[in-house]
Amino acid sequence: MLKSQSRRTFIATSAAASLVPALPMMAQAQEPVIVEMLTKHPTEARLRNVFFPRVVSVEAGQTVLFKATDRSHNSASIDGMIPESAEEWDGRINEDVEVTFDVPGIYGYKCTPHAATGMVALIVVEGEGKLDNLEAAQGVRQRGRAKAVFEEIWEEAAEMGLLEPSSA
Amino acid sequence: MKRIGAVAFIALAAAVAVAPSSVRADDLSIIINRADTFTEVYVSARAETLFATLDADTGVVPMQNGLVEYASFASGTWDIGDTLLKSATLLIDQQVAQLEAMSFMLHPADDKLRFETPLDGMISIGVCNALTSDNSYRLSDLTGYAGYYIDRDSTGGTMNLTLANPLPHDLSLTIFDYGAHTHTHKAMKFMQGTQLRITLDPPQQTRRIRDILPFTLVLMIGAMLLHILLTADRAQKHRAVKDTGLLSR
Repeated sequence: MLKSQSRRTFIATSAAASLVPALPMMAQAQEPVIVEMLTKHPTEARLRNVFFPRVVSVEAGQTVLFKATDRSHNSASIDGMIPESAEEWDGRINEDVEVTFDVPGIYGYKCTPHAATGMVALIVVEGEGKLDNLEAAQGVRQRGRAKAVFEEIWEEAAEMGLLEPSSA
Repeated sequence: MKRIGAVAFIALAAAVAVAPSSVRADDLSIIINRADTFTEVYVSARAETLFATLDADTGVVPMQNGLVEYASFASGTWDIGDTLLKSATLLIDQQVAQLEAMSFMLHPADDKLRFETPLDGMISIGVCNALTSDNSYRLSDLTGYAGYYIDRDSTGGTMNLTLANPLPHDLSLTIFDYGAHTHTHKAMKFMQGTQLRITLDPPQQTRRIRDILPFTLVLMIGAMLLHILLTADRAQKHRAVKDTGLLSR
Protein backbone atom coordinates (compact mmCIF):
# COMPACT_ATOMS: atom_id res chain seq x y z
CA MET A 1 0.00 0.00 0.00
CA LEU A 2 1.29 3.46 -0.75
CA LYS A 3 2.20 5.63 2.16
CA SER A 4 -0.29 8.42 2.68
CA GLN A 5 2.09 11.19 1.64
CA SER A 6 3.34 9.55 -1.53
CA ARG A 7 -0.17 8.27 -2.19
CA ARG A 8 -1.50 11.83 -2.09
CA THR A 9 1.28 12.87 -4.41
CA PHE A 10 0.44 9.96 -6.66
CA ILE A 11 -3.25 10.85 -6.73
CA ALA A 12 -2.47 14.51 -7.35
CA THR A 13 -0.10 13.58 -10.17
CA SER A 14 -2.60 11.20 -11.67
CA ALA A 15 -5.43 13.68 -11.34
CA ALA A 16 -3.34 16.41 -12.95
CA ALA A 17 -2.24 14.02 -15.67
CA SER A 18 -5.81 13.01 -16.35
CA LEU A 19 -6.73 16.66 -16.77
CA VAL A 20 -3.88 17.43 -19.14
CA PRO A 21 -5.40 15.54 -22.04
CA ALA A 22 -8.78 16.93 -21.13
CA LEU A 23 -7.68 20.54 -21.61
CA PRO A 24 -6.85 20.38 -25.31
CA MET A 25 -9.87 18.14 -25.61
CA MET A 26 -12.07 21.11 -24.83
CA ALA A 27 -10.58 23.03 -27.72
CA GLN A 28 -10.39 20.17 -30.16
CA ALA A 29 -12.99 17.57 -29.37
CA GLN A 30 -11.55 15.11 -31.90
CA GLU A 31 -8.19 14.73 -30.20
CA PRO A 32 -7.96 11.38 -28.41
CA VAL A 33 -7.11 11.25 -24.74
CA ILE A 34 -3.78 9.49 -24.34
CA VAL A 35 -3.16 6.78 -21.78
CA GLU A 36 0.39 5.48 -21.77
CA MET A 37 1.24 1.84 -21.14
CA LEU A 38 4.41 1.92 -19.05
CA THR A 39 6.77 -0.51 -17.38
CA LYS A 40 7.79 2.14 -14.85
CA HIS A 41 5.61 4.90 -13.43
CA PRO A 42 6.99 8.29 -14.58
CA THR A 43 7.21 9.77 -11.09
CA GLU A 44 6.97 6.83 -8.68
CA ALA A 45 9.87 4.59 -9.71
CA ARG A 46 8.88 1.76 -7.41
CA LEU A 47 5.54 1.39 -9.21
CA ARG A 48 5.94 -0.99 -12.14
CA ASN A 49 3.64 -1.93 -14.98
CA VAL A 50 1.16 0.93 -14.97
CA PHE A 51 -1.31 2.76 -17.16
CA PHE A 52 -0.69 6.47 -16.92
CA PRO A 53 -2.87 8.16 -15.98
CA ARG A 54 -4.72 5.29 -14.44
CA VAL A 55 -8.01 7.11 -13.87
CA VAL A 56 -9.41 9.07 -16.78
CA SER A 57 -12.71 10.81 -17.41
CA VAL A 58 -13.96 11.30 -20.99
CA GLU A 59 -17.15 12.42 -22.64
CA ALA A 60 -19.36 9.92 -24.44
CA GLY A 61 -18.15 9.57 -28.03
CA GLN A 62 -14.60 10.45 -27.19
CA THR A 63 -11.62 8.30 -28.15
CA VAL A 64 -8.82 7.10 -25.91
CA LEU A 65 -5.47 6.19 -27.41
CA PHE A 66 -3.67 3.53 -25.41
CA LYS A 67 -0.10 4.24 -26.33
CA ALA A 68 2.46 1.43 -26.25
CA THR A 69 5.23 3.64 -24.87
CA ASP A 70 6.97 0.68 -23.24
CA ARG A 71 7.06 -2.85 -24.58
CA SER A 72 5.13 -5.93 -23.53
CA HIS A 73 1.87 -4.25 -22.66
CA ASN A 74 -1.63 -4.12 -24.09
CA SER A 75 -5.01 -2.76 -23.11
CA ALA A 76 -8.05 -5.01 -22.77
CA SER A 77 -11.42 -4.52 -21.13
CA ILE A 78 -12.08 -6.59 -18.01
CA ASP A 79 -15.03 -8.96 -18.15
CA GLY A 80 -17.93 -7.55 -16.12
CA MET A 81 -16.34 -4.13 -15.76
CA ILE A 82 -17.89 -2.32 -18.72
CA PRO A 83 -21.51 -1.29 -19.35
CA GLU A 84 -23.72 -4.05 -20.75
CA SER A 85 -24.25 -2.39 -24.11
CA ALA A 86 -20.62 -1.37 -24.54
CA GLU A 87 -18.17 -3.22 -26.77
CA GLU A 88 -15.23 -5.08 -25.31
CA TRP A 89 -11.74 -4.41 -26.59
CA ASP A 90 -8.53 -6.43 -26.57
CA GLY A 91 -5.46 -4.65 -27.91
CA ARG A 92 -2.40 -6.45 -29.16
CA ILE A 93 0.82 -6.52 -27.16
CA ASN A 94 3.28 -3.74 -28.14
CA GLU A 95 0.72 -1.94 -30.30
CA ASP A 96 -1.17 1.30 -29.83
CA VAL A 97 -4.91 0.88 -29.78
CA GLU A 98 -7.68 3.46 -30.06
CA VAL A 99 -11.01 2.87 -28.40
CA THR A 100 -14.04 5.12 -28.77
CA PHE A 101 -16.34 5.16 -25.78
CA ASP A 102 -19.92 5.79 -26.88
CA VAL A 103 -21.77 4.41 -23.86
CA PRO A 104 -21.60 6.35 -20.58
CA GLY A 105 -20.40 4.22 -17.70
CA ILE A 106 -17.53 2.70 -15.78
CA TYR A 107 -14.85 0.87 -17.75
CA GLY A 108 -12.26 -1.24 -15.97
CA TYR A 109 -9.40 -2.50 -18.09
CA LYS A 110 -6.12 -4.32 -17.80
CA CYS A 111 -2.84 -5.27 -19.41
CA THR A 112 -3.37 -8.97 -20.05
CA PRO A 113 0.03 -10.35 -18.92
CA HIS A 114 0.40 -7.85 -16.07
CA ALA A 115 -3.12 -7.63 -14.65
CA ALA A 116 -2.35 -9.75 -11.60
CA THR A 117 0.69 -7.60 -10.83
CA GLY A 118 -1.66 -4.63 -10.64
CA MET A 119 -1.61 -3.17 -14.16
CA VAL A 120 -5.26 -2.21 -14.22
CA ALA A 121 -7.00 1.13 -14.68
CA LEU A 122 -10.31 2.90 -15.03
CA ILE A 123 -12.10 5.10 -17.52
CA VAL A 124 -15.27 6.93 -16.56
CA VAL A 125 -17.39 7.95 -19.52
CA GLU A 126 -19.54 10.90 -18.58
CA GLY A 127 -23.22 11.01 -19.46
CA GLU A 128 -26.60 9.84 -18.29
CA GLY A 129 -26.45 6.53 -16.47
CA LYS A 130 -22.70 6.57 -16.07
CA LEU A 131 -22.95 4.95 -12.64
CA ASP A 132 -25.38 2.20 -13.73
CA ASN A 133 -22.66 -0.42 -13.83
CA LEU A 134 -20.61 0.90 -10.90
CA GLU A 135 -21.77 -1.74 -8.44
CA ALA A 136 -21.23 -4.55 -10.93
CA ALA A 137 -17.76 -3.24 -11.80
CA GLN A 138 -16.79 -2.95 -8.15
CA GLY A 139 -18.03 -6.47 -7.53
CA VAL A 140 -15.76 -8.12 -10.08
CA ARG A 141 -13.24 -10.40 -8.43
CA GLN A 142 -9.69 -9.29 -9.10
CA ARG A 143 -6.61 -11.47 -9.13
CA GLY A 144 -3.44 -10.75 -7.19
CA ARG A 145 -2.32 -7.19 -6.74
CA ALA A 146 -5.13 -5.90 -8.93
CA LYS A 147 -7.31 -6.11 -5.81
CA ALA A 148 -5.26 -3.60 -3.90
CA VAL A 149 -4.77 -1.38 -6.95
CA PHE A 150 -8.48 -1.25 -7.70
CA GLU A 151 -9.16 -0.28 -4.07
CA GLU A 152 -6.86 2.69 -4.64
CA ILE A 153 -8.44 3.42 -8.00
CA TRP A 154 -11.98 3.55 -6.59
CA GLU A 155 -10.76 5.88 -3.87
CA GLU A 156 -8.91 8.02 -6.41
CA ALA A 157 -11.94 8.22 -8.70
CA ALA A 158 -14.13 9.23 -5.76
CA GLU A 159 -11.63 11.93 -4.72
CA MET A 160 -11.68 13.23 -8.29
CA GLY A 161 -15.46 13.44 -8.07
CA LEU A 162 -15.94 10.94 -10.89
CA LEU A 163 -18.26 8.68 -8.97
CA GLU A 164 -20.89 11.38 -8.56
CA PRO A 165 -23.93 11.28 -10.86
CA SER A 166 -23.24 13.08 -14.11
CA SER A 167 -24.54 16.63 -14.29
CA ALA A 168 -25.11 16.27 -18.02
CA MET B 1 50.28 8.89 16.42
CA LYS B 2 51.00 5.82 14.29
CA ARG B 3 49.78 3.68 17.16
CA ILE B 4 46.56 5.68 17.37
CA GLY B 5 45.97 5.31 13.64
CA ALA B 6 46.57 1.57 13.84
CA VAL B 7 44.09 1.15 16.68
CA ALA B 8 41.45 3.17 14.83
CA PHE B 9 42.02 1.10 11.71
CA ILE B 10 41.69 -2.17 13.65
CA ALA B 11 38.46 -0.94 15.27
CA LEU B 12 37.06 0.03 11.89
CA ALA B 13 38.10 -3.24 10.27
CA ALA B 14 36.55 -5.22 13.10
CA ALA B 15 33.33 -3.24 12.75
CA VAL B 16 33.18 -3.96 9.04
CA ALA B 17 33.88 -7.64 9.68
CA VAL B 18 30.88 -8.06 11.96
CA ALA B 19 28.49 -5.84 9.99
CA PRO B 20 25.55 -7.66 8.36
CA SER B 21 26.76 -8.74 4.94
CA SER B 22 24.64 -9.45 1.90
CA VAL B 23 24.00 -13.12 1.45
CA ARG B 24 24.33 -14.77 -1.93
CA ALA B 25 21.71 -17.37 -2.61
CA ASP B 26 22.85 -20.38 -4.60
CA ASP B 27 19.60 -22.31 -4.64
CA LEU B 28 16.28 -20.86 -3.59
CA SER B 29 15.58 -17.26 -2.64
CA ILE B 30 12.38 -15.93 -1.13
CA ILE B 31 11.37 -12.30 -0.68
CA ILE B 32 8.48 -11.48 1.62
CA ASN B 33 6.76 -8.12 1.45
CA ARG B 34 4.50 -7.49 4.43
CA ALA B 35 2.54 -4.43 3.30
CA ASP B 36 -0.14 -2.68 5.33
CA THR B 37 -3.10 -4.55 3.87
CA PHE B 38 -1.61 -7.43 1.92
CA THR B 39 1.39 -9.70 1.71
CA GLU B 40 3.50 -10.67 -1.26
CA VAL B 41 5.87 -13.57 -1.63
CA TYR B 42 8.42 -13.86 -4.42
CA VAL B 43 10.48 -16.98 -5.09
CA SER B 44 13.42 -17.54 -7.38
CA ALA B 45 15.75 -20.38 -8.29
CA ARG B 46 17.22 -22.06 -11.32
CA ALA B 47 14.12 -23.22 -13.18
CA GLU B 48 14.83 -26.93 -12.79
CA THR B 49 15.68 -26.50 -9.10
CA LEU B 50 12.50 -24.51 -8.59
CA PHE B 51 10.23 -27.13 -10.11
CA ALA B 52 12.06 -30.00 -8.42
CA THR B 53 12.08 -28.35 -5.00
CA LEU B 54 8.39 -27.55 -5.19
CA ASP B 55 7.60 -30.95 -6.71
CA ALA B 56 5.84 -29.30 -9.64
CA ASP B 57 5.55 -30.64 -13.17
CA THR B 58 7.63 -28.70 -15.70
CA GLY B 59 5.00 -29.63 -18.29
CA VAL B 60 3.05 -26.56 -17.24
CA VAL B 61 5.67 -24.37 -18.97
CA PRO B 62 4.76 -24.01 -22.65
CA MET B 63 7.55 -25.48 -24.76
CA GLN B 64 8.16 -26.29 -28.36
CA ASN B 65 10.98 -28.60 -29.46
CA GLY B 66 12.44 -28.37 -25.99
CA LEU B 67 12.56 -24.57 -26.06
CA VAL B 68 10.45 -22.29 -23.90
CA GLU B 69 7.65 -20.73 -25.90
CA TYR B 70 7.78 -17.18 -24.62
CA ALA B 71 5.09 -15.88 -26.97
CA SER B 72 2.44 -17.77 -25.02
CA PHE B 73 3.35 -15.79 -21.90
CA ALA B 74 1.45 -12.85 -23.39
CA SER B 75 -1.82 -14.18 -22.03
CA GLY B 76 -0.48 -14.19 -18.47
CA THR B 77 1.52 -16.73 -16.53
CA TRP B 78 -0.27 -16.91 -13.18
CA ASP B 79 -1.51 -20.42 -13.95
CA ILE B 80 2.13 -21.57 -14.04
CA GLY B 81 2.70 -19.78 -10.74
CA ASP B 82 -0.35 -21.43 -9.17
CA THR B 83 0.80 -24.88 -10.29
CA LEU B 84 4.30 -24.26 -9.04
CA LEU B 85 3.29 -23.62 -5.45
CA LYS B 86 0.41 -26.04 -5.08
CA SER B 87 2.37 -28.28 -2.71
CA ALA B 88 3.17 -25.40 -0.38
CA THR B 89 1.16 -24.44 2.66
CA LEU B 90 1.48 -21.01 4.17
CA LEU B 91 0.13 -20.14 7.57
CA ILE B 92 -0.05 -16.62 8.92
CA ASP B 93 -0.71 -16.63 12.65
CA GLN B 94 -1.69 -20.29 12.38
CA GLN B 95 -4.34 -19.58 9.75
CA VAL B 96 -4.04 -20.90 6.22
CA ALA B 97 -3.26 -18.05 3.81
CA GLN B 98 -4.31 -18.30 0.19
CA LEU B 99 -1.37 -17.71 -2.14
CA GLU B 100 -2.54 -16.32 -5.46
CA ALA B 101 0.01 -16.20 -8.25
CA MET B 102 0.59 -12.80 -9.83
CA SER B 103 3.05 -13.84 -12.48
CA PHE B 104 5.79 -16.27 -13.37
CA MET B 105 8.77 -15.49 -15.55
CA LEU B 106 11.91 -17.16 -16.83
CA HIS B 107 15.09 -15.19 -17.43
CA PRO B 108 18.49 -16.45 -18.65
CA ALA B 109 20.42 -17.98 -15.77
CA ASP B 110 23.70 -16.47 -16.93
CA ASP B 111 22.22 -13.01 -16.48
CA LYS B 112 20.79 -13.39 -13.01
CA LEU B 113 18.62 -10.54 -11.85
CA ARG B 114 19.08 -8.86 -8.51
CA PHE B 115 16.62 -10.52 -6.16
CA GLU B 116 16.70 -9.04 -2.68
CA THR B 117 13.87 -6.53 -2.35
CA PRO B 118 10.13 -6.55 -3.10
CA LEU B 119 10.81 -4.22 -6.04
CA ASP B 120 13.38 -6.72 -7.38
CA GLY B 121 10.70 -9.36 -7.05
CA MET B 122 8.11 -7.33 -8.93
CA ILE B 123 10.56 -6.50 -11.71
CA SER B 124 11.70 -10.09 -12.07
CA ILE B 125 8.21 -11.53 -12.53
CA GLY B 126 7.18 -8.98 -15.17
CA VAL B 127 6.49 -10.52 -18.55
CA CYS B 128 8.66 -8.11 -20.47
CA ASN B 129 10.78 -7.91 -23.58
CA ALA B 130 11.08 -11.68 -23.67
CA LEU B 131 7.76 -11.72 -25.51
CA THR B 132 9.17 -10.25 -28.66
CA SER B 133 12.87 -10.98 -28.51
CA ASP B 134 14.27 -13.94 -30.35
CA ASN B 135 14.57 -16.23 -27.36
CA SER B 136 15.52 -19.84 -27.70
CA TYR B 137 16.20 -21.21 -24.27
CA ARG B 138 15.88 -24.58 -22.68
CA LEU B 139 14.50 -24.72 -19.17
CA SER B 140 17.94 -25.77 -17.93
CA ASP B 141 19.36 -22.43 -19.12
CA LEU B 142 16.87 -20.35 -17.20
CA THR B 143 16.11 -18.99 -13.76
CA GLY B 144 12.49 -18.97 -12.67
CA TYR B 145 10.81 -16.13 -10.81
CA ALA B 146 7.30 -16.26 -9.37
CA GLY B 147 5.28 -13.75 -7.37
CA TYR B 148 2.31 -14.41 -5.09
CA TYR B 149 -0.28 -12.19 -3.48
CA ILE B 150 -2.03 -12.86 -0.19
CA ASP B 151 -5.08 -10.78 0.54
CA ARG B 152 -4.26 -10.14 4.17
CA ASP B 153 -1.57 -8.32 6.06
CA SER B 154 1.10 -10.14 8.03
CA THR B 155 3.00 -7.21 9.47
CA GLY B 156 2.65 -8.58 12.99
CA GLY B 157 2.15 -12.21 12.16
CA THR B 158 4.37 -15.25 12.28
CA MET B 159 4.54 -17.08 8.97
CA ASN B 160 4.99 -20.81 8.59
CA LEU B 161 5.84 -22.17 5.17
CA THR B 162 5.80 -25.91 4.63
CA LEU B 163 6.36 -28.01 1.52
CA ALA B 164 4.37 -31.22 1.36
CA ASN B 165 7.12 -33.49 0.04
CA PRO B 166 10.68 -34.18 1.16
CA LEU B 167 13.38 -32.27 -0.68
CA PRO B 168 14.88 -34.14 -3.64
CA HIS B 169 18.29 -32.51 -3.08
CA ASP B 170 20.22 -30.40 -0.60
CA LEU B 171 18.98 -26.85 -0.58
CA SER B 172 20.39 -23.48 0.38
CA LEU B 173 17.62 -21.05 1.16
CA THR B 174 17.84 -17.29 1.56
CA ILE B 175 14.91 -15.28 2.83
CA PHE B 176 14.56 -11.52 2.65
CA ASP B 177 11.69 -10.49 4.89
CA TYR B 178 10.35 -6.92 4.64
CA GLY B 179 7.82 -5.31 6.95
CA ALA B 180 7.28 -2.62 9.57
CA HIS B 181 9.78 -0.36 7.74
CA THR B 182 12.62 -2.75 8.32
CA HIS B 183 13.83 -6.07 7.04
CA THR B 184 15.75 -9.16 7.97
CA HIS B 185 17.46 -11.84 6.01
CA LYS B 186 18.16 -15.42 6.83
CA ALA B 187 20.26 -18.10 5.19
CA MET B 188 19.41 -21.72 5.87
CA LYS B 189 20.46 -25.11 4.59
CA PHE B 190 18.28 -28.17 4.28
CA MET B 191 19.41 -31.72 3.59
CA GLN B 192 18.05 -33.94 0.88
CA GLY B 193 15.10 -35.97 2.12
CA THR B 194 14.07 -33.53 4.82
CA GLN B 195 10.84 -31.59 4.72
CA LEU B 196 11.16 -27.87 4.27
CA ARG B 197 9.52 -26.10 7.18
CA ILE B 198 10.22 -22.45 7.86
CA THR B 199 8.98 -20.23 10.65
CA LEU B 200 9.37 -16.51 10.20
CA ASP B 201 8.66 -14.04 12.93
CA PRO B 202 7.75 -10.61 11.60
CA PRO B 203 10.65 -8.19 11.19
CA GLN B 204 10.66 -5.73 14.06
CA GLN B 205 12.70 -2.71 14.88
CA THR B 206 14.18 -4.52 17.89
CA ARG B 207 15.52 -7.20 15.59
CA ARG B 208 17.16 -4.55 13.49
CA ILE B 209 18.82 -3.12 16.58
CA ARG B 210 19.92 -6.61 17.56
CA ASP B 211 21.46 -7.08 14.13
CA ILE B 212 23.57 -3.95 14.37
CA LEU B 213 24.41 -4.29 18.07
CA PRO B 214 27.80 -6.02 17.56
CA PHE B 215 28.74 -3.37 15.01
CA THR B 216 27.74 -0.59 17.39
CA LEU B 217 29.62 -2.18 20.32
CA VAL B 218 32.83 -2.51 18.34
CA LEU B 219 32.56 1.09 17.21
CA MET B 220 31.98 2.23 20.78
CA ILE B 221 34.96 0.22 22.06
CA GLY B 222 37.08 1.63 19.24
CA ALA B 223 36.02 5.17 20.13
CA MET B 224 36.81 4.58 23.79
CA LEU B 225 40.25 3.17 22.96
CA LEU B 226 40.90 6.14 20.72
CA HIS B 227 39.85 8.52 23.49
CA ILE B 228 42.12 6.76 26.03
CA LEU B 229 45.09 6.79 23.68
CA LEU B 230 44.57 10.45 22.78
CA THR B 231 44.33 11.36 26.46
CA ALA B 232 47.49 9.38 27.25
CA ASP B 233 49.29 10.97 24.33
CA ARG B 234 48.26 14.44 25.45
CA ALA B 235 49.40 13.72 29.02
CA GLN B 236 52.73 12.44 27.75
CA LYS B 237 53.29 15.58 25.68
CA HIS B 238 52.30 17.72 28.65
CA ARG B 239 54.82 15.90 30.85
CA ALA B 240 57.52 16.28 28.19
CA VAL B 241 56.92 20.05 28.00
CA LYS B 242 56.81 20.25 31.78
CA ASP B 243 60.13 18.38 32.01
CA THR B 244 61.76 21.02 29.83
CA GLY B 245 61.00 23.53 32.57
CA LEU B 246 59.51 26.01 30.13
CA LEU B 247 56.25 26.06 32.04
CA SER B 248 57.91 26.96 35.38
CA ARG B 249 58.62 30.58 36.25
